[in-house]
Amino acid sequence: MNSSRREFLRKSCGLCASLAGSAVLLSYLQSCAPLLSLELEPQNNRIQVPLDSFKEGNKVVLVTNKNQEFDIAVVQLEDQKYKALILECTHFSNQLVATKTGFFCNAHGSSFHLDGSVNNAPAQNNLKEYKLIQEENQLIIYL
Amino acid sequence: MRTVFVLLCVFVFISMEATSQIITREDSLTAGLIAKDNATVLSGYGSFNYQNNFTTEESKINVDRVVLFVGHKFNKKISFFSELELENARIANGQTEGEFALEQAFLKFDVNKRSYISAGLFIPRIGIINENHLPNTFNGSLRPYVETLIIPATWRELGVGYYTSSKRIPGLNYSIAVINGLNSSGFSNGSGIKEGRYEGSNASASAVAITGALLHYRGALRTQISGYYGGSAGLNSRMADSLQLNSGAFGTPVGMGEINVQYLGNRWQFKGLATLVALPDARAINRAYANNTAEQIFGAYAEVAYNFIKSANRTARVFARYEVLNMNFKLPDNAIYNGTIDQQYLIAGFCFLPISGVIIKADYTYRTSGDVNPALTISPYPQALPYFTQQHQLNVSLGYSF
Repeated sequence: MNSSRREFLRKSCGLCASLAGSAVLLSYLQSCAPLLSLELEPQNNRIQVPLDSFKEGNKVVLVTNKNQEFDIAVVQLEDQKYKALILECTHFSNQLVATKTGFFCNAHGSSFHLDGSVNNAPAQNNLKEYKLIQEENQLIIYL
Repeated sequence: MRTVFVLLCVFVFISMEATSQIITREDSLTAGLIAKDNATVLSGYGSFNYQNNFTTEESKINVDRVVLFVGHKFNKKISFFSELELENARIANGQTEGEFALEQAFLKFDVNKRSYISAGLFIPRIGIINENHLPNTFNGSLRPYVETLIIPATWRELGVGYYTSSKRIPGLNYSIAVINGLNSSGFSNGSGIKEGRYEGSNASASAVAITGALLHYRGALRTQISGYYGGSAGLNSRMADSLQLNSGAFGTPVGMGEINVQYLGNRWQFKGLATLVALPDARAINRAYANNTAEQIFGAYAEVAYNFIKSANRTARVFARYEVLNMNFKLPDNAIYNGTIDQQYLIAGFCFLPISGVIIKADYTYRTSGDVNPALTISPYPQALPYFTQQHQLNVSLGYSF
């Protein structure tokens, strides 16, 4: 009796642990989905980003082109406002690594929140940003 | 008076010239380097430290290090980085306590926005402190002991490294580097492989090492795994044969594996690291150099911190760290166990950053270790100073980076 009860508890706990582990793994794998990256050339010092890019839960869209030395992250903030952040670490000017939850510098460990504010030193200044205006179904980045 | 005026004018002119050529990071790296293809950057970091060991009744105050960073951007693709470090404030009259050394000097070639190549004297991606060693980025007046004694940060060698980040998996970075190997004649019982580093100074290119790392960011979580494998003979075959060491690029190998996890939340922060160093030819190294080298060295630490003030510029936190390291983790049959390097540390303290570039730290360290092995004592007590297996120490330090 004791043996079967122990077996039941063992199996139940094992199942719960497996489910919890699977949930964590699933969430982890979901976060591993690539960021949307758009190659957009500037025209008259402006880049137009389709607002559709933020469908399907995208909060961060990378804008890249050959002329820009650093990628631009267009971020949808919680208040439905947008920011165009320059992915250059304000500490030593390294290209930042963009994720869905923030920006990271491999050179000295600085990190930044999605709104561009410093999360961890040694960076002291928030990320610089370009002026961005929403016009109908476009976001216009002014370089 | 006229001479003074002329000298003043010359000084002002020189100063203006200088400022037009050398710009600070604030002026250049955060603004000008994007637009300017050709710019020189001046920056730095440093720390000052007070230590009081209540057990041995010794105290000292010291300029740990002052580091001058000079960088230059040749164009959008090629940059130069250097760090020149002075430890312990001075080197004079043949004293050996100070050190004046190049901490880094390398050229960086951007392959694209995600990838670059470093060539020269650079710091491979192993551990946490090695790459991120600015005093305002770690808790505690002193760097973690595991990353000082086992991973000998800042560990720089000459070579070429490729660094990149994945486009498919956001936050995933990987790197691989080929660097010069170590010098096993420098290994010592108390400091492991640390004194076997060449650090760019007339390194033997006969021994080669390969190091690689995988680094992933997810939210506030940073996970890294890295490895190192390289030779440590650094001799030609004739000399190596005479010492009965294996020569060649990977002869008399040293392997190192390391994993670390950091959670850097707004309030709570956690760091954990574990590392193992393997020297399969330790027996041969001891036979050649009699330096009591271990076959395996192990170390790990875990740290938890809480930011009780966290504003845009000001941060104050308390932290506690537990470290365990055993530099006799596995010994060959011709090595002698040394209890003093089987250590545990408990460090607790606080850090205050009035601005993010300046840090004030105070912490208390409780250290325990094994006892002295009489077999390793040449002149026993009372000639030798007594050894305390339990020690209590207070550290206060001041650090900056700009």
